[in-house]
Amino acid sequence: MIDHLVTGFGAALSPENVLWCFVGVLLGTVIGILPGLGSATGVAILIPVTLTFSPLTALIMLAGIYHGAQFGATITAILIATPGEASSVVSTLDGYRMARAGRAGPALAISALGAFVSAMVSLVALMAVAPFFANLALDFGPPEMLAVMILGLCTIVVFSGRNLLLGMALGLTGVLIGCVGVDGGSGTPRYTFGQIDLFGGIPFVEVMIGLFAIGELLNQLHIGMAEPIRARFRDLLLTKEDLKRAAAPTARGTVLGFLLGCLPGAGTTLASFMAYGAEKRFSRNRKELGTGAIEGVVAPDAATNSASNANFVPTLVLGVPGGATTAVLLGAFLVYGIQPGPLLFENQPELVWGLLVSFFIGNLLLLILNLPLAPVFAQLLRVRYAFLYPLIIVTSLIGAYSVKNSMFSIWIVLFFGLVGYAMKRLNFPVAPLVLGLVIGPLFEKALVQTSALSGEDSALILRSPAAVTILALAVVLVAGPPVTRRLRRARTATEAAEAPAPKTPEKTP
Amino acid sequence: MTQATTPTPSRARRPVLLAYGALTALGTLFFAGSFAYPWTQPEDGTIGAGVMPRTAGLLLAVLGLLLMRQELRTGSVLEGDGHVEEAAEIGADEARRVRTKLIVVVVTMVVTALLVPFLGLLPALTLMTLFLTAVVERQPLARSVLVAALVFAVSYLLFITILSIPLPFGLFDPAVWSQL
Repeated sequence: MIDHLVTGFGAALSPENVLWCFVGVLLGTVIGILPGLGSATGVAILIPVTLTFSPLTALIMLAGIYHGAQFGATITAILIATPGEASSVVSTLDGYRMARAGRAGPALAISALGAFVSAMVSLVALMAVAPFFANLALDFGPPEMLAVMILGLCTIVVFSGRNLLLGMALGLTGVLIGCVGVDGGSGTPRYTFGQIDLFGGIPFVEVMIGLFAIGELLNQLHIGMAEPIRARFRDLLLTKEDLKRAAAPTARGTVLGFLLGCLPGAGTTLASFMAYGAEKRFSRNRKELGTGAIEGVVAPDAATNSASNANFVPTLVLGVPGGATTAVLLGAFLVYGIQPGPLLFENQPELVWGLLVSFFIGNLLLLILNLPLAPVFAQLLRVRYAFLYPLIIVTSLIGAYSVKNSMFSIWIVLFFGLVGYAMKRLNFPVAPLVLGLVIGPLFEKALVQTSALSGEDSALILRSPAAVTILALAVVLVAGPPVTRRLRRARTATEAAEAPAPKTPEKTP
Repeated sequence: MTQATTPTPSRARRPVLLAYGALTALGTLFFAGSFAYPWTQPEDGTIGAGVMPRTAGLLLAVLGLLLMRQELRTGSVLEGDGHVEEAAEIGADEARRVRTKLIVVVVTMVVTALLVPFLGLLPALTLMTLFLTAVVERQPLARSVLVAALVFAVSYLLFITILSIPLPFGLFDPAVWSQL
């Protein structure tokens, strides 16, 4: 591997490649900041710009955009509750609360740091065990994917607060919204009412922009516009305690993100939600989650970055895209006449290792850019809300429009903005709805594929040890907390019953 | 799950009940509409287009009813539902002012969207920014014009010059003028 790394560094560290890597991460950060323009759109838009470059330089720049967009998306999610990417939705839950509490700087800095650490760890894993994980992912058929999606749906429990019924209802609402459009299994248009705009379904990104950006904006107007936040400089910096608290969530998020990212189609969004769910279950400070806990920021961001690197495992090794952006990048590979797949590592070592090493360089550049800039970005909150909210509307609407170049996207944003506002006023959790919307179509796809595979065998899913293990995890996730609570209550009651009755004080004469 | 975390209101809250009713109606509509799609594919017997909406719709309708029952019977405020406390927090005048402003902002966004086919996206949004800052927020006119101009310039630079996204320019589009 050392030889490969030397080859990679030799190829990636040319001044030209480093320059375009820098341009890529910078452009990616800007694209990530803009709501709607995700990394997939950003890479697709900028492929034509790179056509005159050498294949390695072009891929380095495009990968830089991919990584930069992940970083950028979190910035607006934390500062103004406007997630730039679907995967940064979860960052709004605690990141925005931290920002409103005057801790935007630490939230942004820990997000950048956690993302960097997870990117480094996942890159080492990607380089060392990519073929192993690719083969493992290849063994993941429809039944196993169905089990993963069931586990994903079960994380709704985590995001529901104490009203589980409501969380489930909102999750189902998301699933139903995801049913609109042409059904992937049969090609039947559902609930489209003959409207061509609805054939592609209700677009997820626009729904997210509406629910979060416009919904939060209207809510802020309702509660009296947020005052500009003038934090002291020392409040903008990370403390030792922050770093200590972030270590374990970063590790958990990295592992979870890498495992999910290796699975083709599972995506970074699911990884970020599940990482947050894991923190809700396992974090020492789990009770603080949702109120502005650093664990709620760092774990999803670590998972997102880890998953986005792991997405390259199936892409490079098998030629199967791990997610939407790697699908676009796969197209770019073909544009440059490169055939990804098992032989790529042997036939084009300089290109593959140069690209992988450029991920290191890109993430380092991002950290250098983002860590010192975190307090600077946080200054955005000093802008008076009277000027800030029109800017949020402008970026949200242009961002939504540019996803499909369609006015339909703007109407979707406005409609879901009102829905988001109503949900915020009623204090309904938004995350289960988003989770249902993300996982619903993936769940249905896996269900259709499993049913096609199983034929008469309705218990096919139970014959796969991997699927059974994942289903068991899902059961533990749902049933674990109430059972533990009940056991603890029973034990307390028993201890109280067994304890000797308090002695009555003897009266002194 | 039925444990109240905050003081229990004496009666069910209307906005919460309405929201639960909307969820029930949504579930019912999807459930009823799902009968237009097959449960199984006639060709190979695999799961059809009706399975997900029928199952999820039915479940949502049932859950919506359960939530309504929960609200009617206990009216309990659980973590994650039914904030609705502004009436007690602010006075009637303030509430009216907030409501008016919210309506104006929402209507402004809708009118802006309606103007896009005529003015184009960037000009319409620039006008909206000017209106919101100068009229709704009553900021000094010079500052509002400056902010609106900056919005136009930065958006043009980012979306059109750098990212080459074809934003509509409505009647300002040179292609429209060349037709005349």
